[in-house]
Amino acid sequence: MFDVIPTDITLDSNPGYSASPFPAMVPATSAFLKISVLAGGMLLACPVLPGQDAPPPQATSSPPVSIPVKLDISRRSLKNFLTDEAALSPYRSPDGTIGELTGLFMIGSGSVPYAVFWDSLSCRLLGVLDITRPGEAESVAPLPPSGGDETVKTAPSPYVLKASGPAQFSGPTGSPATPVYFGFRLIDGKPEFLYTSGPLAVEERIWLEEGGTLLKQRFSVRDAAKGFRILLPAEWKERVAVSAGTWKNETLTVPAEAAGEVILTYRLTDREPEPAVSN
Amino acid sequence: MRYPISFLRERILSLLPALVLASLPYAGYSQTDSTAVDTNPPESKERPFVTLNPTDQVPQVRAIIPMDGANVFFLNHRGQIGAAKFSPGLSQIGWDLYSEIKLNALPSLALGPNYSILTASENELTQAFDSDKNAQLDFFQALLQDWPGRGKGVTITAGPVADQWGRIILALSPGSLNEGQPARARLVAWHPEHKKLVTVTESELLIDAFAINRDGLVASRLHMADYKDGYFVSLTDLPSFDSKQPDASPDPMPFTLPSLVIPAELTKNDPPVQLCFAHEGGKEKLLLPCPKSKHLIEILPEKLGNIWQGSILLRGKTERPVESIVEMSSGVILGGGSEGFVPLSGLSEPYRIMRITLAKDGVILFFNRSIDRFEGSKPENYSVKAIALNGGETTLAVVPVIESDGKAVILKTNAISAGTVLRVVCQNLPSEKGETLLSSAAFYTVHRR
Repeated sequence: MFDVIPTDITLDSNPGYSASPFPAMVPATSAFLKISVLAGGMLLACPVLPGQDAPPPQATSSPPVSIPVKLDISRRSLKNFLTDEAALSPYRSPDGTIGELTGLFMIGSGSVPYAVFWDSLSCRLLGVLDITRPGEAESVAPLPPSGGDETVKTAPSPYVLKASGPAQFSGPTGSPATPVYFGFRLIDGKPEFLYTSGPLAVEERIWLEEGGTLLKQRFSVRDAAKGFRILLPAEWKERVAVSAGTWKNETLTVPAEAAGEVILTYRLTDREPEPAVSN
Repeated sequence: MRYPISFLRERILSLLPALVLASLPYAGYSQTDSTAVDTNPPESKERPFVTLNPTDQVPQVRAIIPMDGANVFFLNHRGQIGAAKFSPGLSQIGWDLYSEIKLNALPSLALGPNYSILTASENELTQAFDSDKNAQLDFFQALLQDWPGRGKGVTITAGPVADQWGRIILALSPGSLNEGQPARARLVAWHPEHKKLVTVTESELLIDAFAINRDGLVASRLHMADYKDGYFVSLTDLPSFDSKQPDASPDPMPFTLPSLVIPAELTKNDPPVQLCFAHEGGKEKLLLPCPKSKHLIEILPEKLGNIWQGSILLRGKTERPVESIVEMSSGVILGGGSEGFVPLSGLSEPYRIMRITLAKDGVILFFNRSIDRFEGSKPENYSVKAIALNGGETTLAVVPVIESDGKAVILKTNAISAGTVLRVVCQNLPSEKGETLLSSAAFYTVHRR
């Protein structure tokens, strides 16, 4: 056991970099933080407009007590697992080859059987892998021939969620813009990704709850005077509940009043099969 | 073992550097096992003592950046950034993580203001901040994601390294910027106050690692996968930075050429991984660790006109693998590798060849101990070969002359031509106390006489 010398300098003090020609670069967090605070609690009920689907299930109504999972966050290069042409588009090089996922965030936890992938190039949630399921390469196996009738059985994909379609984020007109990644920060151990998409400044926070069975995705958008839209893959919609906005097909339209906080809650477990009705 | 967050915070705050410490070295330092006690007088503004519990865990170090003479930040094998504190003799006092985020970082760190840390992956230069001042990095800003050739597959291969003008230097993989131009690797400079990324040197070969000294001399390890007999190091003077024309490219553009060859026999065929400038005995050296063979290579650069050449020597064999080396203060050298931190100075030095210099009529070998004069006077105990850089080798006849202190031997030879690597082997040359040479072979790259 060692006693360490006392220091009269802490991070609050000027650490003496005045001599450095490298000027202090304060992260541009303040603006993001301010908008979060201002917009927080301003969620308004949105009327159903003609042509829109019924209001989504409200994830925040009577919120259950939910315990966030302590997250393990890493950045890794990974072989590109996307299969949808539109989702692959940002990764396609001029010669047509598909690049690795080099700016990938992998979010997981030792106690959770899921790995969540978010990528800084396309600035989107790319997928959720169930690490207990066999990989895709081994999930498709031809069955032995039986009476000349060769059939192929496809096992379920290990990806509970896998991105498809164009960029998820768009302005009120629905035209997607190429997102530009700015950085990320930790809010109570949860990664919050900061990026711009056209004129929109987006904060997107990702975390797991309920022992990892629920994935939460919180959007806070500033400069969204006319609201914004989130386009989700069709397969994701059946798993998601949202705290605000209205659906039209796979597009969630979030009004300006709710732009400060929209939480999408994804159920990562499969639904229990409904019991068979017998007479 | 998990510590309460508040405790961890106190611990890491104690690890962080205090420039005040430089003027009050180790005041209050106590090596007792007793419980930590605040012995500061009531009016003191100093923080209370913080107790560090010893831990069996050893950080697997991939990169180190000193904060001052006693504290470092480091990058571990998982990509996490830690802070460690050392005694004057480089005994490790303690370490802790500064961030649990596992970055996909290349093995190099640069220090920014306010204890921010710069790292680079193949596709991003990132600056990490402790924005809420709780001694944990919590904000990771992508400073740079675009550069010439990025869309054509050009990636960051080494860095970040800060130069003396406050710029951050990165190495980019070879790429052709314009149709028909040859693909070239580049060292580029990024400055927070200037928008344009400036190329500062070009190279035909990919740059695996590099270091910059206080005068702007860049030492780069060049990648040449097909060449198995040695490892190329180049020395290139960075063009001066003109703050009035910060975005101007140097004209002419310095071109990084292979200056020195580290023969594979000196490293046991283990490529050196990083480079570090260090100062000993009034001379600047370049140290390169080879983690698998545990060999530590020393280069003594010499400049003749605008050409760099010099001695290439085995400095030592470390007990534990070393991947990264830093000079904490002049002559105080710390290494780190997969088995933790390794002090590399203040140790008993083995009997070895310290330097080779060229003389008018041969070469001079310098030793750190007096040699056995009987053996040292025998010409057959020396072998000098001149290996031409473009192929072929010549064995030179030698006549040894031992200097009066017994620590230098002049090997008189025929004329040594430029464009060669001299391989000097002392087959049987014990010290006067009977010690065996650490390495009987030493090398000198001759570009100019």
